Formats: sequence, structure tokens, C-alpha cells
Amino acid sequence: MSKTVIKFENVSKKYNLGYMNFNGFRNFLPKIINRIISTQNNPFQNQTDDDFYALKDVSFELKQGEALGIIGPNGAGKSTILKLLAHTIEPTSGKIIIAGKISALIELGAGFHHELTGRENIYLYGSIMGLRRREIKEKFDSIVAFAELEKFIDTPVKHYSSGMYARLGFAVAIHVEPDILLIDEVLAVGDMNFRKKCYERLHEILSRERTTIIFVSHDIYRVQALCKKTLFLDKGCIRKIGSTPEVISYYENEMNTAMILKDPKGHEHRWGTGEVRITNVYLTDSDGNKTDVFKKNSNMLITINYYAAKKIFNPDFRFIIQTMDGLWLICARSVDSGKNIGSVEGNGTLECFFESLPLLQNAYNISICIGSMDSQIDYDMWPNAARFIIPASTVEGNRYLPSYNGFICWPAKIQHYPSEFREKQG
Amino acid sequence: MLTHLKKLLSYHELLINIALRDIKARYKQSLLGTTWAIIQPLSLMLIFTVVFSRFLHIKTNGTPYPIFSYCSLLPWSFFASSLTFAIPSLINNSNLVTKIYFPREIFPIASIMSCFLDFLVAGILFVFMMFYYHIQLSWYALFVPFIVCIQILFTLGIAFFGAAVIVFFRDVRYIVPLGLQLWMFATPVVYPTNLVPVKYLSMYMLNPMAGIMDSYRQVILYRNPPNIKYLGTAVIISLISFSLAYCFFKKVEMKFADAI
Repeated sequence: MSKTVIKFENVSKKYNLGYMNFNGFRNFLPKIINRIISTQNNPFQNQTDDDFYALKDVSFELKQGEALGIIGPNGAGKSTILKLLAHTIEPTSGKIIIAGKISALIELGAGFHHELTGRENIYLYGSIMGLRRREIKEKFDSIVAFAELEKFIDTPVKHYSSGMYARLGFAVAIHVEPDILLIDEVLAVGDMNFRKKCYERLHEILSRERTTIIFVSHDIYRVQALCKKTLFLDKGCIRKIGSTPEVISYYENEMNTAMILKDPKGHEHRWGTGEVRITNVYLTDSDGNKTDVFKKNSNMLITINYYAAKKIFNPDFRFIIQTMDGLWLICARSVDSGKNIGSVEGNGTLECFFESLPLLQNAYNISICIGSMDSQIDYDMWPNAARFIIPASTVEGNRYLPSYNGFICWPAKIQHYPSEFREKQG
Repeated sequence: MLTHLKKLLSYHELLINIALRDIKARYKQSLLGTTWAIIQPLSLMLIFTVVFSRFLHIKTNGTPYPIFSYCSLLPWSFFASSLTFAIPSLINNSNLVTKIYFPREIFPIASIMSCFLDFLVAGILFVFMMFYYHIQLSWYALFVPFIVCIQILFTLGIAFFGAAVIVFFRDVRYIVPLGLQLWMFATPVVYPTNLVPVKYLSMYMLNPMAGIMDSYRQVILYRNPPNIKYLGTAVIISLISFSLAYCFFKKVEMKFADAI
């Protein structure tokens, strides 16, 4: 039975928004003295509108060797949790119990001094992370090799590229071998190969089941890959905590619904020469009803109205289905349909029909572009012209099927050949 | 306070590394490097020698003015540069303060340690000057390390207090250079203590730096024991101010990351 290493008990963190705004000198002194000296939960400190809860009543616990992903929109309180764990701030109320050495991978290279060489910075950063000089010496070669900086190790880090900087920071942090590792969106830097190496290293650390990892990220694919357990935080409160697939699908559903409610159609990034303009877009289902909610494997018809200010010969209409974070899944082009559009002028209508759309539960954007055949000119490019969702409940069996399983469902036959069977055959 | 000190001791390696960083970083990409540690008090000595010795004819009880003033300018520079670096040390390291925990007093202490090295380097020149002016040392010179310790204790107290307050009020940034300038003239650095009118003397000595500076001169230049009354006052005030400042620093320490 592995032991609990992190325990949050009803932790709240309150900030006062007007912390440093002393309006006038009248209450200046009493206010500052009160602010600086006051202990937590000061009964004399009256609640004001300025109070803001970065975290409210958060409780969870983690066992040794577990990895917890923390997801949530900006300002949800993710970084506050990390700061509380790193013990740089204290909770306003509640209790935090931490057993073990913590290494924070927050903002790679925060501890570097840019005038010092890579070598000097390894020693400095290592000791900030809690390593003894002797330990750093032992690990030095391994750190340098991991960062792939053998040639530049005696160069001041101010001459490093940002990728080199990040590599060195990660290499040191990963060699600390802490009991608890805090990671905050830092791996977005560095090139693909190095990022891959970092994640491989993290998986390796997890497989040893000694280090507990807390991973804060907007990249839900990474969270899924790394963490078995996930916490969905919103406005300082825990919305859901549990197994990663479950929480992520809940999170995606929430976020997608919120997005559709907030901003059904985006015009702000539309561009093009304007010789042909899309005037209207709508989606209809198999029964001919206008909707933006579809079932899995249902038919979808995209209808657009356009207006061409002058005669355009053979334009190319493109319908792009994208994930919410912009990945292109399908790009249907009128050029590829075999038939030429011919010339367009004045008002017109165009339909794009998808038969049994093989998309899994999620929200998707449709971007529409009218361009020239050779793709040299965009007459009208309308990103996110329409949006639709395939809700969780319409996936059969009501099983949780988050994007963990990809975006596309495709029938496949899977067969199993046990070893005896193969031997017999061979 | 003792538990805090104990915890601090377990971080001694980090402390040394940060002090080393401060030292290395300060003189990187400068041609003269550590020589600057000598140039600073030396140039002050030269200008004060011209003004006070040649123009104003200050009497220094027979000691040549250059060594008379250097003897106190040296520790004074240590004091002044310590505060100049230690007080903003927390806000200059805000990226670390908000990200990783370790005892925050490490930053001001490391700044003072790096200034102490400058102090030692500049001290070499003082040794040469002693030979040049044929100053003979007495056994009382053995008081010097003790006086230095008192000075460091007092410096730490001011530095802790200033470093903690500057996190909340950046005004301190502007107060420090002004305050140091005024403070220097309230301290017998460029003039001897006996020029102070007797009726102000007891108040004057409430400034621990006054007792400390006077003691340096007594034990090095005049082959006297330090004035127990002056030095004693300095010791007591230094101890009290250090303890108060350290407790205050630890009390507000956990608010730094929020306010910085």
C-alpha cells in the first residue's frame, strides 16, 4: 500500500484585489500595518467586495507514484495550487500536508543567471532545487548529455537560444529525483525531439512508482498520456476529480458547450479580397432541420449562400472541419468533387453533404473558404463560420468516449491469435 | 528564532552558491573585475583627503589623513554596499521567490557575503598603507574581527528589515541611497569622533555605526582598547535590532510571493 504524499484539506486562498491601492492617506497606516502584521482569518478584517478567491475549499489527496493532471480554463487557480505546493505562498484557510522533497519545474530556468556559464548555472540551479554539491557533481555529465549541450557548457547562458535554455533547465530539474515533481506548461518550449525525450523521461520516472507528478497543462492530450488521475478546476473550485478519461470528457463537454453558448460564429478573423462573399451558413440534419447538434454517424448538410460582386470563373469552395484547437480533420474541396463549379455571379447557393460523418463526441468548427483554383487568391476565408457538437449522450451505450480515443470512429476488425494457436499453425 | 537559524544552516550550500553567483555575476564582462572593490573606497579616500585635510585642515590626532579616513571608509563601504545590494535582493530575485521555497533570508545574506569579499579585497590596500605610513599594530588589533562581526550583525538587521519592507513598498528603493548618504555624515567616517560636541555625544552614539567606526580607529590606529561604552552600546543595539528584524522578516516571509 503506497502512502499518501500530498493532502489538501478544504484549502482556500483569498486575495484582496485592492491589495496595494491605498486611496488617500487617511487609512494608510492602519491599513498597511493590518495588512502586514495580520495573521490569517483576522476577525477584525471585514469582508469587502475586493476579496477574490483564487481557490475555494479544495480537497484532494495523492499517493506516492501517482500522476495528477490539473486542467481548467485560464484563471481557474491551477498555478495557485502549484505555488501552494511549492510552499511559496500559504493558504488563507485549510490544511496542506506534504511528505517529501518537492522539485518545481515551473518556468524553466527561472533560477538561471544569464551572465553565468552553463556549468555554473547547473550548480546554482541544482542547489536551488535542493541538490548537494556532491550529488550535482555525480550527475553533471548525465545532465549535460541529456541537455545535449556538451559544446556550449562553458558559454554564458545569455548566448543560449531559448531552446537550449529550456533544455538545460529541464535536464537539471529531471535529475533532482524529487519525491514530488511539479510541472507547469513548461514543455511547450524546445523542439519536437527534445519534447519527446522529456515526456519519455517523465514516463520512465512514473514507471518507477516513486515520484508523484503534478502536471498542469492546457494540452489535454498530454494530460491523458501522462496522468491516470485528473482534476478539473474552474474559478477556484474543483468541478470534477477522478480518472482522466472521465474528467477530460466532462471537461471537453463543459468547455465546448460554454464556447458554443458564448460565441456561435466568429467574424473577427475573416479575410479575403471580397469579390465573392459568403452571406449565410447553416447546418441541417437528415430530417432537414437546422441544428448544430448531431449524432455520431449521422448525415450533415452544410448550406451556404454567397454573393459574387463580379463574374468569377471556376472558384474553389472549401469546407474544413476542425477540432476546437484548430487541427484540420477534413477538408472537402469542390475542385476534388470532379465537377467544375463553372462561373459564379450574383447570388447563389452551394451545398456540401457529408454522409454518416464518422466523428466522435466533441465540438467541431467548420471553416469555409472561397478561393481560386490554384489557391493563389482567397476571395473569402471565414474561419469558424459554423460550429457543431456531437454530445456524449449520443454515443452508444453512454460510455465515456473522450477524444482520448481520437476524433474519428472507423470500423475495424480486431482478431486475436494466442501463441499456442500460432505454434500449431507454424 | 533558533529554529529558523537551524533551518537556515541546513541550506548553507545554497547560500554559498547564491553568494558565488552574486560575486561572479557582478564582475563578469568588466575589464577591471574585483579591482573595482578597491577603486571605490580609494577614490573616496582621495577626494576626502583633498577636501578635509587640505582645504578644511581637520585634525586627526597625528594620524595621516589618508589612512585615517581609509580605516573607516573601508568598513563603511562594506556597510553601504551591503545594504545597497541586500535590500533589493528579494525583489531582484522575484522569479525565484514566487516559484521555489527556501528560507528567503538567504538572498540578503548572500548579498552581504559577496560584499564581504569586496571588503577583504579592499583590505589588502589597507595593509599596504599601514606599511607605507609605518603604523604599528598593538594586541588590541585582535578586536578587529569582533568589531567586524558586530558590524555584520547590525548590517543583517537593517538588511532584513529593508528587504522585507521593499517587497511591499518600493519607496525603500529611493530611501536607501539617500539614507546612506545622510548616515555617513552622522557617523565618524571622514572626521574624528572628538569633533562631535560633548552634549550631543550620548545621542550620537546611539547610532551603532558610530561606535563601530570609532572602535576600528581606536584599536588599529591609536593602539587603544575600544571605548567600552561606545562599543557596548553598538553591541546591544545591534543584537536587539537584528533579533527584531529577523523575527519580522520571518513573520512576513510567506506574504512575499503574493506581494512581490
